[in-house]
Amino acid sequence: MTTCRFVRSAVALFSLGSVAASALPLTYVASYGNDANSCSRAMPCRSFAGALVNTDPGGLITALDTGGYGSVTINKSVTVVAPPGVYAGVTAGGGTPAITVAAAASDFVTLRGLYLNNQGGTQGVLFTSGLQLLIESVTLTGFTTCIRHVATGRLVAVDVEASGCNYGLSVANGTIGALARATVERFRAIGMNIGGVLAQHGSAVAVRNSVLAFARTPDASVGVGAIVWTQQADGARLDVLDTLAFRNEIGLYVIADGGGSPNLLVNDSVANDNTTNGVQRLQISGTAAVRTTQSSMADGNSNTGTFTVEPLR
Amino acid sequence: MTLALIALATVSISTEVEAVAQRTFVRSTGVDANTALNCSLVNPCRSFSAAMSVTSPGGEVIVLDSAGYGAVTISQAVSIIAPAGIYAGITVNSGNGITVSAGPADVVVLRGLSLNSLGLGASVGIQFISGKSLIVGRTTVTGFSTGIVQLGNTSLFVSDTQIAKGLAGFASSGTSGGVAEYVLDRVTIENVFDTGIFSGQYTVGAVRNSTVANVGNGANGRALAAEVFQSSASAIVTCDQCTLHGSYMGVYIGAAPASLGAIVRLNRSAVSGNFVGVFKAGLGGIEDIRTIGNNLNDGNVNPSAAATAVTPY
Repeated sequence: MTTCRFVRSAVALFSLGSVAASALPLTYVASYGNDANSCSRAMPCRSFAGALVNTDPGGLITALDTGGYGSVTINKSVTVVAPPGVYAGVTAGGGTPAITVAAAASDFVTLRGLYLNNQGGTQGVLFTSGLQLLIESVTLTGFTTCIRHVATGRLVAVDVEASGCNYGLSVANGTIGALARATVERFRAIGMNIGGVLAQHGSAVAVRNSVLAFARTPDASVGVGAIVWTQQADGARLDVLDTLAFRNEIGLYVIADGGGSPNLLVNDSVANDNTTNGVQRLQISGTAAVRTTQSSMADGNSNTGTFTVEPLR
Repeated sequence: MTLALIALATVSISTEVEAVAQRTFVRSTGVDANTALNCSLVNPCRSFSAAMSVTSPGGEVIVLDSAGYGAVTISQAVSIIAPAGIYAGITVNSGNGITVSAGPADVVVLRGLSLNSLGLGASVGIQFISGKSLIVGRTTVTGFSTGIVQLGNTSLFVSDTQIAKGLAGFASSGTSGGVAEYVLDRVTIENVFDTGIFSGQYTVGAVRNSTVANVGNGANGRALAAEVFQSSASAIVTCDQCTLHGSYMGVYIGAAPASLGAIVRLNRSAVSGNFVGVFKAGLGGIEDIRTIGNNLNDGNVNPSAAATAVTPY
């Protein structure tokens, strides 16, 4: 069955941009559905990919009952919802993401209430293009990167829990001057192999009311709660607000390289008991700044900041 | 045909030949003989333990409807998920509700469960003995001797969880050469007899957005305790945005002379309405309460011990 859904996903990929002539604004998937159906309430489809081609732009796909609904590449404005009481899972395999969002520059995509699990895939959610992606009440387990944002659009993540990935959230589109924004509220990145949040050059990321804990690498590199890191002559900004960075190797880290100018802002947060550094700044090439309102606690770390911290008040 | 495909796919990614489904299901109308059919969506099992026996490592056990699903011992990486709106209960008269005794690389996830003890004989709601990490979310634990116990040098994250009644809410201790680390986020512990949160030898913990209330019998009881006796061991807790209220003792700190000390860091927290606010036992070791001066410490019958000032970051 799983194999069959992968085949259908591949078919859907080749029909990017197409919408069935009989598409509906509201479509449905169910464990008893069939992708040959119209995806109406009475005739639900079996997979998200099957429902997507039958959904109008701006439409909504709802999971009617508990089941696995297969990988999908989303290419238009759409909302995918599993209401409370329904487990809608997507298991990634075959070296591909669970969900890819590759939409038009004006498209809004929403993912709500999904469970994404990795069994040989890559990312949980890969956001390559679109105006905005909202991820709400989603859990992700075991990916290389739980959420990867390489678009120039906006990512909003609320009530998202990521565990056992290399990165929890990675934001970087790699194009100088092209902004990738991410606003994150109640994000839990637990036990990452490398980093809870990675904001690279060209990104502006705000993380609030979140927990970044237990990031430790299995090798000689370093595990970080959140890091803002330029590798090109570009800016980057990471705001850490009301957030706990705890028992990582480095709690909060800012690295300037490639002549870049990253900023790390810390407000009302706790960076305690990290095993190497609480807050660390590294300037390889460029200027890295740490700015605070002096309202945070950084205690019990092996080291915390011998560099200048600029007051924000 | 379908079963053969799934079996082939599983054999290629796992050496666990008996556990062949990455996603299994339990239902009130299920039967455990359906392990022969891998506890599939259309042939669900009746108990967690039966479903676990046919779930591949890193897979998921999904609850389809409200019922009790029995005590279970978990010895592999797995997620047990009850979606919101479904009561997935484990009721025991004796012994543990859930025992996690997994391998050193295993991540175990428990979501949406209700654990209940009908008698005082039942020992622990969730006992985490071994594994890389355990993630507990949206769970209630009622009436056990101790709600959640962490043993050994493991990582534990508990969120959106309520623990009530019994002797203790949460207790953690590690072993020599390592540390037990934990984060409790949005956890409520109330109406326990002895200790709300106990951080013992070889522990480093953080409690956040959490409430511990009504602990004790009028002459004893500690909402939060960091206590260590062993040589070369320490007990360290950060409490950020905690309410420690209405108990005999808000914070108890005790360290024997041979130990490395017991440290509690309070940040943006309230210690109020207790008989004693913050109490240092004076056992002879390092007993420290550390703050940046942003807590509410008021309304306790007896005053709190003096705090060490930490420079705000």
